[in-house]
Amino acid sequence: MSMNVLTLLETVSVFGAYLFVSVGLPAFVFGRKLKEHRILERFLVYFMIGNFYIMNLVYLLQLLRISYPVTLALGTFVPAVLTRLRLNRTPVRQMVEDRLADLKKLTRGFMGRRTAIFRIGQAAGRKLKAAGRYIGRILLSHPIDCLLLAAFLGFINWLQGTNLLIAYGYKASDIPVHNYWINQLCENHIFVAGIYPYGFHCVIYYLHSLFGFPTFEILRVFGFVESVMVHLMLLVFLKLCCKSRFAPYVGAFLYAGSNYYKSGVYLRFYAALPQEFGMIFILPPIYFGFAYFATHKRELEAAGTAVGRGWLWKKLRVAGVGQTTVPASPLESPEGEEPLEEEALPLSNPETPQEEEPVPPEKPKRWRERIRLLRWRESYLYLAGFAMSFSMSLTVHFYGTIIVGLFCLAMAIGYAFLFFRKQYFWSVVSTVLLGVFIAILPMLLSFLGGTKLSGSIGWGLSVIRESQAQTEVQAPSDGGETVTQEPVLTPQEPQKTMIERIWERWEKVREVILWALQNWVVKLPESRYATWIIDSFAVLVGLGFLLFLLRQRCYGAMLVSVGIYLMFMTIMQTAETLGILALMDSSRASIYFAYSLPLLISFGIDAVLSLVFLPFRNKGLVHLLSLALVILTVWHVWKTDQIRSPWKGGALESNEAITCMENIIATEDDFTWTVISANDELQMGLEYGYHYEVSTFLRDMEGVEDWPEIQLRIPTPVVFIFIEKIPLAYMEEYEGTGQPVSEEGAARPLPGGEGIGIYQGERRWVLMSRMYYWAQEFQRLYPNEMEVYLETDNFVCYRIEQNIFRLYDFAIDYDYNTRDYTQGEGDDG
Amino acid sequence: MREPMITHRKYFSILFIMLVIVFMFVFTQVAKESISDYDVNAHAAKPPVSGSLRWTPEDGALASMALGTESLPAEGRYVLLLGDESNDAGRVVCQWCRYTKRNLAVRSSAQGCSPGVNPPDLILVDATVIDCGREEAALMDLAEAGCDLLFCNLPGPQVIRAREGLRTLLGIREVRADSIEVEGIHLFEDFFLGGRYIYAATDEESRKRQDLTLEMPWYITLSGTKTYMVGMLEELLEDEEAMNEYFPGVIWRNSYKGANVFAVNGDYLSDITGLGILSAVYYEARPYDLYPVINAQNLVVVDYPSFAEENTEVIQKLYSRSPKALQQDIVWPMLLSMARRGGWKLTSFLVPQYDYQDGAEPNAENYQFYLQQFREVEAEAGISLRHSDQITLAEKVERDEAFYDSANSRYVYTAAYAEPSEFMKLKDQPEAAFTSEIRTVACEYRPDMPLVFYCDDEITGQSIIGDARTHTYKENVRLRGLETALGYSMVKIDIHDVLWTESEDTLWEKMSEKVTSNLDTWWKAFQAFDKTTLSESDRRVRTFLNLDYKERREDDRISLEIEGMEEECWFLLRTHGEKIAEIQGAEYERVERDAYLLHVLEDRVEILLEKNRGVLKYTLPEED
Repeated sequence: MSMNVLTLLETVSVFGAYLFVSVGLPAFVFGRKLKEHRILERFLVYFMIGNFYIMNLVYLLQLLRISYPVTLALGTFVPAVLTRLRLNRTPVRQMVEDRLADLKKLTRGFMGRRTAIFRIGQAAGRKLKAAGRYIGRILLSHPIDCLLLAAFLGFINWLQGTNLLIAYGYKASDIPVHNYWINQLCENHIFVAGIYPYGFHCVIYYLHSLFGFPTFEILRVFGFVESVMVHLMLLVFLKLCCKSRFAPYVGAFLYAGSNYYKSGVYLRFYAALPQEFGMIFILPPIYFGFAYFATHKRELEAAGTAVGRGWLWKKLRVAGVGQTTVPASPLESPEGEEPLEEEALPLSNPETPQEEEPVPPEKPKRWRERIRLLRWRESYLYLAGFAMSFSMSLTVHFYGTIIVGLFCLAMAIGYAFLFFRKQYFWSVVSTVLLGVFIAILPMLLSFLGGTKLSGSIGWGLSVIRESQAQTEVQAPSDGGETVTQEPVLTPQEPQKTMIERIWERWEKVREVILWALQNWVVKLPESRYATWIIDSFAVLVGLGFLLFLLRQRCYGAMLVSVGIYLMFMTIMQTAETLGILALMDSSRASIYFAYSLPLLISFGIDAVLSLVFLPFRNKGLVHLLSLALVILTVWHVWKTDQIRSPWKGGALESNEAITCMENIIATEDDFTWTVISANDELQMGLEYGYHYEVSTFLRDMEGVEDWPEIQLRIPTPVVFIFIEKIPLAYMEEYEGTGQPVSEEGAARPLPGGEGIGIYQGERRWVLMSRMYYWAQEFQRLYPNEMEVYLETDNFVCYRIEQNIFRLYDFAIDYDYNTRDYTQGEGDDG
Repeated sequence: MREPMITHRKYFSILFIMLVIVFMFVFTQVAKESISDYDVNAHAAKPPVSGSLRWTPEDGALASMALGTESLPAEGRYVLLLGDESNDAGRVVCQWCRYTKRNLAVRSSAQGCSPGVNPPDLILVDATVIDCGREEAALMDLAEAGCDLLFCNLPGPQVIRAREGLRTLLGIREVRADSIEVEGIHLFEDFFLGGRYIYAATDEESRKRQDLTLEMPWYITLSGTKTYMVGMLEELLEDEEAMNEYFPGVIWRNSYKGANVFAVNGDYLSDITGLGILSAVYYEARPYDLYPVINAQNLVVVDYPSFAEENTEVIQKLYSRSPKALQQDIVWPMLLSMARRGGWKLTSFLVPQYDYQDGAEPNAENYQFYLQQFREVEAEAGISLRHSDQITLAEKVERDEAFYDSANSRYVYTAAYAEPSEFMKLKDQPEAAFTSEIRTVACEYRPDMPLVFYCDDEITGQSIIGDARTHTYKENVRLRGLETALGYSMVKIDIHDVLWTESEDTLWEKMSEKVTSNLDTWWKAFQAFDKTTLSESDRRVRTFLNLDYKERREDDRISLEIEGMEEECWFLLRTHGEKIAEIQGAEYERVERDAYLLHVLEDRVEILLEKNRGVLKYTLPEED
């Protein structure tokens, strides 16, 4: 089987398994409960529940040190089935009795096997038919949407998936570390290298344990899964928030498929990294926040208890302004506010009659009674969704939480007219605190148990600390794209007036912002476009205000929030340059900033269309125009040759090495082999075999004085040696990058140092040259026992079979290891 | 009038059915006896291949070319023995050369030996003849010239300790002790056929079997060596720091400047075990080896049946039966059971009587019975010419002739159990008519005699390598060696000991238990080889001794050309991690990992090999 086919199968399996547990199972459990919600919202809720449950289940079992495939399976399926039975009020006893009766009939021969199979088949057929009808209904009711969504997903698959078949290995240098942490989860050792947000690791470990995928295979392909989900989440968010049906596609397409963004903002999507996984959970809490405000406002208004309005409201009320009927939709003001797209609103079934609000009873004194008296409200769903997704953003990677936090801050400003009311304020604040508490609880427990913080968290905090003093910026390493000169903030001239000085200062800041935007985030033919983008933030806020005044309260607040959020993001992107508190370095901020810009585009279009067609009741034209805009955008991007092509970069490990690892794991018995290679394979095969680092291997047989007393035994029947004939440029290039192994390289002294550094730059070339000549000598000594496992122009893997009762001494004199290097450079002779 | 208990009709029906049943059983037996030629030896019908066509070395001498000071041969496959062809090791080397169709060059010194354009396949160094210390440089020169060396035995530890060059050549890191007694011997897999085995005396049974030489010098090997057999030390195992790698090496290989240097620390090459070592060493030195084998596993029953009621009192006392009843009712069913379980084809050497003085004369009453039984189980009847000291062989033959005449049988004997030299003297005597068609003689193994050989052009000799009752560790190593080199074994069950029992060990119930256990255990690994009667084995031995072959390999394809083959022959192919992908002109069967038995049916065979281990399941996509 070709590795390409294998990679495809692995990708499909891993993606399928992930969707099954993160969407399928929650849908199985809560499907009936949430059936009145629109499909995208349901998808979002299921996805949040699924991921939240997985992460916290793993956390719980890990902290109890009972995390095994069996406990994970029990913890997944038993609660799922029980919850479903309870939610659906299924008569369990009756059901069990019926099934037992059927079984009895079958075992006693009253019912034939064929009949039993026929009945099961019939039941399955009914389910399949129902599912088919459901899918058919969706396709028929939203054909263009389905078509565009399929095209979008297909396009994303092509963009993000192509590289999977070009470079099989890990695409980021820190994945081996994550691999190590995940491997340690298999031993019930959580936070093995200190406390760190483990959400990503929990999910990978869960997929590995429950479905049996080797961890390294998941990590190879999960970057693709992540990036598809990140893009999908963007589209889903826009679809749920925008009123026009197709405006979301414009923003999503321009972000995902156009060449207007710097390639650096996408690079990390090709690797399975926690930060990018965390990006999936950035937009959902925002949507849940918007939905909560809209829904809760509607609930309060419907109940006639919209009390606690501010002093301005009361004054206006006295003046007779704004006296309205009960609002009809959650995002809008009551009178004349009709959503453009009915489905765009996070509504409960509009046909569902609202229950009459009873006279508030006397407050019960006991908490239990209070809780019992609480009635289910739709807004709770959004609060729960908000809590889960906010919590997960922190559980996965705190950079995501920073972005969510900024957005929440913007939302608090945008929705200030609701947020500071007591019916909202405490609910929202307590939800945020709950989310944070859930996220940090496992880490807190471990911290209290004596586990220290991991180095990564320290590094993240140091970025924030250092940024206060540092004003220098590094150019983005995005592969040779133009970087203009960084603007310098000159000292103010004392003779100018205060206004002049402020204006001048603002001009400089603006210049920095434009520079940062162009150098980190977008590629624009002219710098004025960058100015437009920055100005658009203010325009979006203005539009929001306008719509707010035009009684599109929640919608207007949402636009204002988005506009303010984009301003915050701009500040964060430029903070490092401006010398103000930077929450993250510019290169990482650019990824989030780029991810936020589609909001500007889609919300901008949506706002304009909403404003123009506000007086019209029939919104068909709005949808038509938004569709036209989609077509126009695609056509324009196509015509100007700005369609983004798939990245075809290399990995930090050769395809040959991955092929060998896949083969070794698939064909050799577990723990009967050792791989001698650079460092990446160490964690890849940890659950199946052993690893010996090249640097250690060579060092162990190095020396003039001790020779031939040095002995090196590897106690497994089979030993594999990975040698790069053309060493990889592992995160560091040097003037000889790309040169093959040679006697010249082998004649150099072994590089010193530890960790990954020894495999970078020229040091890797020296190590691989040494290994190559060691292998040549060993093959001369053991011609029948050492065979070539896989060889290409760049790489060779040897397989050595040895007798475990009489191990080979791998410490051989291969000439270069017995030279005296203390006199300077090794001599080539 | 009383009603009859059964009607006439029913009565006759039952009677008829009973008659039919009786007739059917009796008829089939009668028919079988009348149709089958129980007293005809099927093997005698086909004329044997003549020994005049046997393979001989190029100069006609017995597998050797005593070259003296002459230069080494410029062409042809040959082995150079630095030693003496007449001592134990030399004789084994001679045999091996004959069986593998190689010439043998013998020199008494390494000095002046220059491999030239046609280097030997292997240089064998007999350290009992060659002064390795003095000839260290010459030996190293030979190795540096790319010649593979095998030290049939090693010079003394003092010599090795003193000679660094010799240590380097042999791959010895350290001489830890001049002599040490090991607890057991560990034979690793992939050297001999039959897999790995630890010859250690761990219980009473294994203590009885232990007869290997356990005292040896303690050499610790260097990196670059591969060890095939080690001595085991319990003390070392108990030491946490110690490693298996410190166990004293018995057989190992060192890679020295492109040459393989094999060392045998012991006297394993002084008997026919050495045949296996030589084959295994040659295989280890090459990417593969393809060589002819006999492919015959023989189980012979000596002095069974006996037709005289001898030693009756003792047998009556021990078994409560007459000798005749003992043989027929107790021994034969057990033999049959053993043969069936292991798939053996018995060759039973009949003996009319053993004691010609006791007055108990043989009775041919059961003669037909045994021939019939043998025929039914595809066994073969031979004659035993063993006799007591009270009678000469000539007298015995004369007396036996009378018995076979009285038996009035057409059976022609083609196999005999005898001492070859004695038999060859007897062969031409007119009174030994019943031996006139004998083609092969089974004899006890003697170190001074080849294992299989032509006594003359018409008669072959096949050696019995052991007694099935007692299988010692030495015999087991020998068995593995012979299976590796020749795919041959012959083991005997001596019924004479049962009929003339002197100790409790030779009581049949005890003896049969041991025999069954040994046959089931030690031959299990060699099931790929055919079980044969002695005459079948004779045919294969003749072909084996007669044929000559040439083989060459190009990439993955091996071409084998055979001369002097009659109908069929067998070859053993041993590879290093390769298997047969395709074969023409032969059939093959897997013996074990990397070993295949080829049943050659044509004189030209083409074999295509492919990787067997380390095969990629997932491959890189082909580049555009």
